[in-house]
Amino acid sequence: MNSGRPDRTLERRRFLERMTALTATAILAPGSVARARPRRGREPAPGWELPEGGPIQATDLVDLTVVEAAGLIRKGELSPLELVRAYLDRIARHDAAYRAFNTVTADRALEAARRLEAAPGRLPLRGVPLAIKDNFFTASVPTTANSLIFRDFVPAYDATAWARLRAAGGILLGKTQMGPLATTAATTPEGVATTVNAWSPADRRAGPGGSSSGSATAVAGRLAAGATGTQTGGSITNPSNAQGLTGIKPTMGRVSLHGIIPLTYTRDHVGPLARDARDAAVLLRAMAGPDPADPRTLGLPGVPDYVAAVGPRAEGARTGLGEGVRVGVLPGFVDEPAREPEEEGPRGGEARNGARRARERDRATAAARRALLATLEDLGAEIVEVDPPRDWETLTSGEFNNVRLPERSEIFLEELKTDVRRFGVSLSPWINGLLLPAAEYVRGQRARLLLLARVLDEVFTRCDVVAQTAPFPFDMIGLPLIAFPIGFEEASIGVPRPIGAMLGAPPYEEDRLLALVAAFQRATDWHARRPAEPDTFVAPEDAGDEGGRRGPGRLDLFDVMERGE
Amino acid sequence: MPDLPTRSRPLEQDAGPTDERLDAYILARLELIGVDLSVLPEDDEDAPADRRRILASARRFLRSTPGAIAGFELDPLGPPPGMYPSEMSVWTDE
Repeated sequence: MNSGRPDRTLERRRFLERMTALTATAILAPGSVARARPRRGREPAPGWELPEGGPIQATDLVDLTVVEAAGLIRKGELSPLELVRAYLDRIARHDAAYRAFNTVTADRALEAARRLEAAPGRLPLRGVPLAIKDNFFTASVPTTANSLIFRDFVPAYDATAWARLRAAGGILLGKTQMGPLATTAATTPEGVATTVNAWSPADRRAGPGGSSSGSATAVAGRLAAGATGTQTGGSITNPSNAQGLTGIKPTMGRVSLHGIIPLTYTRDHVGPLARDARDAAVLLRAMAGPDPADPRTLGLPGVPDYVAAVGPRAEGARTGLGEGVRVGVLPGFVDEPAREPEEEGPRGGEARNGARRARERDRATAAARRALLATLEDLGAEIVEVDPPRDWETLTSGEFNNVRLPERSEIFLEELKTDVRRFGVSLSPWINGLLLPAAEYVRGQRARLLLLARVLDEVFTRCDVVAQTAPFPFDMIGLPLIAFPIGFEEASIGVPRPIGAMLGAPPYEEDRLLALVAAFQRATDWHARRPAEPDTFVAPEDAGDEGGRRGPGRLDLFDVMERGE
Repeated sequence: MPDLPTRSRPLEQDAGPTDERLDAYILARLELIGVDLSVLPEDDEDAPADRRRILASARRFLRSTPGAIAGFELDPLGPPPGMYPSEMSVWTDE
């Protein structure tokens, strides 16, 4: 290892030890999710500052980034009330088309803005309107996770992550649509798709990504300045990539899960969905840090200065490119994937069209990935080919990924015994989780630790960050992952669709990912593009090129099994 | 962490139990812990879930996942599962 690079030996060892110890750490008992009470010990209001602002290109208040809006408010050039009203007006005009929100808290948002105006201060996010995924507890505001199980649930307190954003000056605009209980793309419990992709609201062939669908659409559609998400299997990174956003899933334990409706104990993560790396850095900075109410957050290395990391001349931060960062690329990253021969028979025409669209997108994705690597190389990165660790295909297969399922079944066991119908279209994985024998569950947990050790020893000894083609290997082992836009294509469905990439890093190196993406975004403008205004409202039941029960407007039980969470 | 050799042994898919035997296994397991699928419609594609599709998914899961995991051999001295955080916190001085 070069002398200029940090010695990660200690951090790796501690991370492995923590992953082992946390495998069985209880957070919320299954029947007690709705009855859980707040615990003491949250941090006081934050003592950190925004990054320096640059020239502002926005011509509309809702086009401002979080950093830009907060900077203008701090300088007295914009009022929180003015900004909140601009977003509420836009929600009123367009959310019937986007369906990004479950609940819009307009009166509360206006009241919060007035309160902030009456008590000026230097809170870093003062007056910034945010959208919060509907599995975050929000005091006195319904929190449903789009599930019948939580249909009438109104928490008495805020999730720690939201409480910290609020303490930093953030304003709640509303709760966002999501896949039921954080599985799949946003649907009703019966499987009817709700939220659309902000880049193609009239065409459901481009999905919004899930399960943080509403959060992504709210930010991409300029219905909120920034948003929160949760990720167990791609639920921050996939919708971020689908909608041209920058989203980061931090290392396990970086952000408290206290007050989040759980899906698993060992793989749930909280993170922001944002317009660029600078916004992602400030939102993550607000949420991150130890929380006595969540033991997974305790005893970790200190939270790096994410805000400094995204600055143009960060001193002392792990700025990646400034140190000659090595970007690892696994085999096949820039290749078009092999696809099955086109289907013949009665549905052959439809299948051929789908295959053609997939090929167009594959081709554009491969070109955008090659351009990404070329840009990073121009910026000073070293591109290195790395082989996957031993048993990579086996240990990251769907079967080993299924080891997570018993955790959700145990969390919701009382609800399963009461009435399985309340799980709606998402029921299958909960039933399957009850069927994995304990011996295989234990072996699967041991295999996760083996995979983690091999990734650290066989991949991150050769590179500092690694390009990913799918989120779940790093979700499985709790490593940080960032998603960001790297291009667009319009050949597949005739309207521009974002193309995204994902990079992963060793534990607790979110700052390195943010720095690298911030540097990329200073050299490109993919992140600065905004979708056209929606002009057509398409009823979910009638939407898409197939329509009907299993069309893009409605998910079947088997569709749910095949999509992210 | 010790990283001793591992071996993956594929499951012979064709030699598995029939649908009927798997359905009996699934329903018995669920009955033992008090989960009742009989409240679902038997076969209704317009319903969010029905017994036919839930059982088909469960059979597919049982034919793939437990065998794949069981077939991946790990050395007993390899990584521990760490199911007991209080003890692990002592071992790891956390």
